[in-house]
Amino acid sequence: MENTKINVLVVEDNPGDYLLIEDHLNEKFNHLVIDHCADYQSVLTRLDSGKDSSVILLDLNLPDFDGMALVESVQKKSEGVPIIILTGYSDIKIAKESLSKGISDFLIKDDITAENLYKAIVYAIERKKFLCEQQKSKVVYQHLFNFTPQPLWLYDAETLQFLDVNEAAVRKYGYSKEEFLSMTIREIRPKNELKALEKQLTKSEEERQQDFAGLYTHTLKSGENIQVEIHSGDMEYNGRRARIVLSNDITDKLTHLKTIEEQNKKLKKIAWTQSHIVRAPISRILGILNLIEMITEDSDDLSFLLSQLRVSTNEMDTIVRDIVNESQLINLENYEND
Amino acid sequence: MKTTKIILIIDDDDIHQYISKKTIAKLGADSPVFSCPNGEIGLEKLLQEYSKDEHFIIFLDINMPIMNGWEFIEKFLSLNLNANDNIDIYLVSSSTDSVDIKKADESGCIKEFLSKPIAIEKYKSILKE
Repeated sequence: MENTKINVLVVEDNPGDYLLIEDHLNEKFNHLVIDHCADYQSVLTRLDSGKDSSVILLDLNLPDFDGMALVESVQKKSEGVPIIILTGYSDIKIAKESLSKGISDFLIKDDITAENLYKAIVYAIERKKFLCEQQKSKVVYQHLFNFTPQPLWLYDAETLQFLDVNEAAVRKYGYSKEEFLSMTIREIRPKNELKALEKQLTKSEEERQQDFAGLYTHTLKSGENIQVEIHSGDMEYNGRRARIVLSNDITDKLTHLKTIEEQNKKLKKIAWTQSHIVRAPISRILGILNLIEMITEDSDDLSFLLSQLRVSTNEMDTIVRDIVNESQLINLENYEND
Repeated sequence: MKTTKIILIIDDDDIHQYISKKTIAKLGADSPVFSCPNGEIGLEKLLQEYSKDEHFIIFLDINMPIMNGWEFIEKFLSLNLNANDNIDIYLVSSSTDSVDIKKADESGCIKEFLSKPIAIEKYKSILKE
């Protein structure tokens, strides 16, 4: 830290106190720029100038402004620069209170040493950095949530109210984000499934289910129903118990599957027909031929014609048997006659 | 004591009935041949003609109205009709479906699965047994 350039804005109207602070700072920091403001007006001018500060040391009593209102005003104007309050024993209550408003630290003027001032500044800057990083990763997660191509939402585990929805959900379901946030998850379920929904919710409450997956019907704003695969999990959101839900529209997938199943059924039916229906007349023809041959072994012409008839019928028989065998390769096992 | 062979053809196909009867007759067998158009009538006939001293040959079709071949077998097994081992059932079908053949094997009471038409040599060997 000693080698990093830091820029300290000291807001102090008492020249003696200022000199002391300046000394302390110079003692501890090598690359230091100090700006000094002695009243509220010049602080405003300094903050509006756009010049950056690493940290602000703020006296609670300025000739033209003081107290909590001063703190809040500087905080607002300085947009995230860490602020350390300098105060006497008389204002210690305000100083403590300001900590809850996001002030980094406070120092009692009579107790300031080079060491504790240095520490307070370094801590304040480091803590700020850390908070910035956290803010950044929060933004990354927010983007992940918003730009995931599949509909995602959060709902309150108790009220079932939507707490947040992503863009894909808005596109898929047709409700705007505002509309979503005024709805509960009951409103995207068909009316005849509401009982099942309550049952499911009670069940997952009782069993404390962390993760859940299943197939459901959802209703879009347009009234159209879609089949969705749902994955959900527990999480906390702004202090509320919430569930995050990922919804995957599989309506088309199911339709395709159904078409394929129907085609399979037809194929099996054709195979069955080949085996049972088409072969029946062939077997009769062959049977009749057997019989005729037994009776008419003496006539040359007739036996020639019969043998030709047999050749053709056998040929057809072979073809049908081949087709039946081929069909069995596409799984005939489970086909029932009816 | 020489046992008689009693033949039951259980099949709804008239032409098959006709061919079978004629063929058996041509082969010179003197066995009585009964034609039954479905499993139910076949079962009635079997119960009517049954005697433990005689040898029965049943040619059983699979696909028939009212009671098909599989239902006939079910009933046949539940009535324990083959206690004396004097009934041979040949399952006869125009089907060449491997599922039917497998099912026939698994039923445990089918002597042989025959695909229509039954060859003359087959009739000869069955009647000689």
